[in-house]
Amino acid sequence: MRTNLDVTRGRRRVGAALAAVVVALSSLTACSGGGDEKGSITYAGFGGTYEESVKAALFDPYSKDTDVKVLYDSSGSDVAKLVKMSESGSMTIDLIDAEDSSLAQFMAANILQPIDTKGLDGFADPSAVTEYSVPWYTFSRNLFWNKDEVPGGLDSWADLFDTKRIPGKRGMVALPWGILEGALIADGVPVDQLYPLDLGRAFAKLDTIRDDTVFFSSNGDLQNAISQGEIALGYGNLARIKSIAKSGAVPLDYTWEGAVLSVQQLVIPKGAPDQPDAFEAIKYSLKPEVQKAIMDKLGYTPSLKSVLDGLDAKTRADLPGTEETASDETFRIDVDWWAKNGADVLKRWQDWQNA
Amino acid sequence: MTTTPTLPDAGLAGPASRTTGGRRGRRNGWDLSGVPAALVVTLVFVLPVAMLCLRSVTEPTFGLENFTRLLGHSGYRDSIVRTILISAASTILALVFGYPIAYQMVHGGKWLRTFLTVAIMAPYLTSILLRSFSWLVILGRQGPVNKLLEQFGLEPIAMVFTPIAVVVSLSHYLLPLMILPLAATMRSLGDSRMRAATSLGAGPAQAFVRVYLPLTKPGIQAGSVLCFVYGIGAFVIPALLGGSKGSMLGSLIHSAIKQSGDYGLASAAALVLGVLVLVIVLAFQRLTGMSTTELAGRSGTAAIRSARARRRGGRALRLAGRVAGGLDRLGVTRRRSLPTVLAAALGALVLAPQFIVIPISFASTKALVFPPVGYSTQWYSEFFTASWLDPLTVSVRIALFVTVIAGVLGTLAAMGVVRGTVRRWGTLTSTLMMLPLLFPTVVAAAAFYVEFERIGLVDTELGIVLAHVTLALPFVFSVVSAGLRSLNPVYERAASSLGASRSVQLRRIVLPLIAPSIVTAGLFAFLTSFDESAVAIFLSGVHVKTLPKRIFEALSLETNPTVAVISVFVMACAAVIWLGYALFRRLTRISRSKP
Amino acid sequence: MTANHGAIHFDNVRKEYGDHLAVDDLTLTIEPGEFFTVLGPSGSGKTTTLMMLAGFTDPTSGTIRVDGIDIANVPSDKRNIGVVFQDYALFPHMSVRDNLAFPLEMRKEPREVIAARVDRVLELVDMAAAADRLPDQLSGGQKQRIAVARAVVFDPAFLLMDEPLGALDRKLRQRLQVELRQLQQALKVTMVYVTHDQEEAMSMSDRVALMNHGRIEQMGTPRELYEHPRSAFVADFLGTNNMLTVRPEAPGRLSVENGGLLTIDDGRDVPADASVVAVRPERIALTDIAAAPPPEFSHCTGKITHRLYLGSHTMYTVHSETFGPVRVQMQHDDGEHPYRTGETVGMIWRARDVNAFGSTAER
Repeated sequence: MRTNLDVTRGRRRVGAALAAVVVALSSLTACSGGGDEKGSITYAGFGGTYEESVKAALFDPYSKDTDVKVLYDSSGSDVAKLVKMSESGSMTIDLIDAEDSSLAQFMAANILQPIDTKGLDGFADPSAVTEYSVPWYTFSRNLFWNKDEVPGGLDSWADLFDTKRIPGKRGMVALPWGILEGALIADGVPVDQLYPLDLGRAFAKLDTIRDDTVFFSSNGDLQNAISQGEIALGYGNLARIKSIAKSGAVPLDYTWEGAVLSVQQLVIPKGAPDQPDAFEAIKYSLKPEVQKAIMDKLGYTPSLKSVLDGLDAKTRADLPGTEETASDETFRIDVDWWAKNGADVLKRWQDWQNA
Repeated sequence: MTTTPTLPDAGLAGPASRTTGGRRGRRNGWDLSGVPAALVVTLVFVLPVAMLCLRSVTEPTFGLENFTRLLGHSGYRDSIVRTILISAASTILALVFGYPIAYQMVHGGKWLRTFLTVAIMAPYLTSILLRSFSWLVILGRQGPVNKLLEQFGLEPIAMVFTPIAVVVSLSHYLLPLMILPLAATMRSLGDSRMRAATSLGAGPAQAFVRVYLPLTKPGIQAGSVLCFVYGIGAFVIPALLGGSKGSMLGSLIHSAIKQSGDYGLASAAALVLGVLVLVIVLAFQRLTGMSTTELAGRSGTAAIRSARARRRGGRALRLAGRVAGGLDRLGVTRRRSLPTVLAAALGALVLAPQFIVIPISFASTKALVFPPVGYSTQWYSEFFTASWLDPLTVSVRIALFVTVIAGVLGTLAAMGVVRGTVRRWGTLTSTLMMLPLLFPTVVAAAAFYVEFERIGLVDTELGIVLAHVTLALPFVFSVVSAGLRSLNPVYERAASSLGASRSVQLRRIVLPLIAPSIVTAGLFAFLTSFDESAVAIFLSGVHVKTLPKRIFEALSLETNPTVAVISVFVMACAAVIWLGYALFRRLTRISRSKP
Repeated sequence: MTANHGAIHFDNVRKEYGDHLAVDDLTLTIEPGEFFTVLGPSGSGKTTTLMMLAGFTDPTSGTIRVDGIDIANVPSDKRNIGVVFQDYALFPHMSVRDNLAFPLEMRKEPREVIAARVDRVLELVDMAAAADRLPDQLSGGQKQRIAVARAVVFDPAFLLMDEPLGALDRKLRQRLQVELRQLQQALKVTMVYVTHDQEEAMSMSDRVALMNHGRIEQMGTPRELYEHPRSAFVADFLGTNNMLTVRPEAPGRLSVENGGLLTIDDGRDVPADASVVAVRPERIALTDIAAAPPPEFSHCTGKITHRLYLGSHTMYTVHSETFGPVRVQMQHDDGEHPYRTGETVGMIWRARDVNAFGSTAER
């Protein structure tokens, strides 16, 4: 009899322990499920100092005004991964910060949610608005150099490829758009005849600097390497270059020659958990004060005509896409071409990278 | 009396006799207590890894497409070869550095032994990310190494983003794995053989080359295999320090999954990596007769047993012996201080990356320059913001859960294996328990990510806890098993005869008696989870971000000396925990040995 | 605690470890209140027997009953048996008092009862002063007493002891033998005692079972075993014996290898296949070569080859033409014996002191 009693007590104790484990485990899942509720959106950007700037210029005031919390993801340029996420129905991102080559690929993969752009106007370049996207600024990637390592500076894409005259480690982000075009320009292709890209010629030109170049998986990596003096010259996002120059880590300079212009757009992927709040955030990004703030933080050109027109000449002289900074080699990515060929080029690019 | 391997009459106090079981199944046996842990490892670790491997032929379509891409393309082939070469180079470097250190750790004076132990264990306790950060600073363009070169009027060398940085950093990471089996082997040798050799007329160097070195071969073998296997699965170090030239399979898997979403290529690469490791381990077992668990347990003493099957020293050895004899005649090797100084210098070198972060943490600029241009405490205030404290809280919480779950499961599994009666079951359980230790973590992390994604476990604390439990189990299991093996089972029998049920025996008798092992195991489990970067990098997301993931972001997305503050913080914590632990061990030892 | 419970029955109990047969078809009965010793060399199956009784291992077949109840399905912690282990197995992390309280706690006794009973049992083993010490602070003998105290404190149905004195020195062992026997009689508890030491078995037991190769060779009082061994093994294991290989010649007459002739005519049945005889050295006496043997004594002559002085007695080895080497033990009743090495002497013995065994006796 006593034995039996013991058994039931033992079972009860085991039951209690199991219950405790279940409660503990469910608390683990509970404290991580917050993102799917209404009232919070997940934004895919690029991390690092860029994220800090966007947070300060756009999302902090947005959250304050709307009570919507913003979570930050840094996979904004991982196009293939985002496409895969959408296709597998596991999209956790509400808002993607996309440059126009990425946008083209998203559109080609048909993973974007159409948005109602009717009420949105006043853009400096209305042609940049699409059924799926709203431009929020224009940015550029520029050729840059460390003044200690390259006292003479750079004047053209050809200089970047001239390892004899200008030795030193080159650094770029491992995204093919802009770099393939730049290689062709360096090889003598006129800017207005870049497309369709002669990929064989571009990769052959890139082969000539392969041993002198480090390709980084993210802007942050590149920024890191430049700040530590690992990189003598290269091609990178202007905001990052300016941020390094300002930090004083290394004496950095850049040129508008050969700058690659791109429009930055905010898009909502299909299956995004909280589309209304994401759309609100897009509308919020077009507020004049936000546009002004992002210009101050990143040094990029506002997409609203009213804000752009209010700037003085001195400010405009250091903004991408203005007449003041235009040059012979400045060009814009051909979004249509990249939309059509992007996926194939990416695969070829990835294989070349690993070669 | 009896020659059967089972000693049925070894006495009640003898070791638990393993039998094939009585007529009835044991009512209260420990055999089943390993089941929960085995189940967890099977479901959480083995199953996802197997499914990932399967994906290599099914993703995106059924066929060998991924392998033709991986093995047919010279770029990926190079990356496989580079992985092997970098790992081999790091192993050799670890051996060259580790051997003199291990030698002095065994034969050196008390203070040198303590210093070297600290020098080896301290880096082991700080995250691989933080060590990578140190190397980033040290080997950087503006780091101390290049500064030194400039002092001598030499051109600075680009080391970061080349295989050099990866090999240096990787060998530093692997050093403890080399030294522990080496030291264990050396410890088991004793001094008598060296003395015998000298008494027979061999000089110190000659005695070393002809007698000592060949005898430590099992340790060298075990250490080398461990280093090579771990090196091949490296991911964080090449990802942070390798650039495109120093990239390895691990970083390829990471970028294929996290950046390109190319699961097919990633799973093929993971399979190649997994097969490489298994082939090496199996070949090693075949050659030396050491079991996986012994290898994973880094038991150098086990290696001694296989030393008996050693072949004769080759001609090379005799030649080296002659060279050493020449050195002896010159008298170079008679200086006693030489090996001591060498080991001390190497130890200091190993410890240096730990301390270089201290001045960096007080830097006034964002740039990672050593020595810093100016000083400030801004990064300390930065650390005490939500951006860093939240991940810290998450990491601590996860690590606590992992400690409890892995502690309970691992202890039960150890009871099942050590006190169980079904031998085959025990072997299966221990193999399962040790598997996550030898299998490349990056492959497991990729598998967790891909398979957990489908059931919504990515970016949840539960997902990371489950994954970490499988990684912590080998430590808990092996430490508690060792403790249990040294505990005479007669105490449990005595308790049983006095009326204590199995659970009471465990609670009142076994656990108190193996408390030191349990505390050690818990500490290992906590550190394993708290320090773990590969799984955290894969499974962290926007909602759940562990401290290592935050550090990884800080290192790869921004330049941020706050990482140095973390290093200092972690070092301080590790020092406190270590001291507390040493104190605990000392106290428990004293209370046991009172006359 | 009364002596009318604690009866133990083994019925055809077998225990196999893989291919090894540890206990072979064991059937025995232990009476309530009996001091029962299982004696045997290592590997004889005595400890396995104890482990099956304590519930640490299960029989492969057969049943064990305690007071008529089959205990197969009673786990060891519910068997209510007091066990004293070879190295005591005192819990090193608990004080003496906590060790003694442990079995009572397991039985959910009230705290006052526990305290009272622990004090009483401490008194019983005369260890009250050591109550708060840790086991590591006790001497071997003290540990032994505490181990016994712990085994009896909860009034077990019976006591099992596994070589409880093995780790102690000879003097202490002898004293504790007496104490253990007294304690057992005072508590009137059934005792199953396992040892390989025949002196312990002889001095304490009511009955002894001598085991060899998993079987009981002989079971009975110490005197029965010593005086009337039923096999050559028993004869050889207990004390010292002269073992001679023989062949039956005629009823009551056996011829020894070397040609001597032994007569057993005290009316016992000599096995028809008798092949070994045993005569204890102390049952043989040396006489002067010339002296005639007293009536009822057998007689032969031989030459002393060795002489060992052992304090209480002297052991002679005498080489006899007809019997081979024979050991003779002579007490020192009245001064030293006159016999010297090399001397030829006579040996006399009674026929009833000769035990003969069949060839199957040695397994």
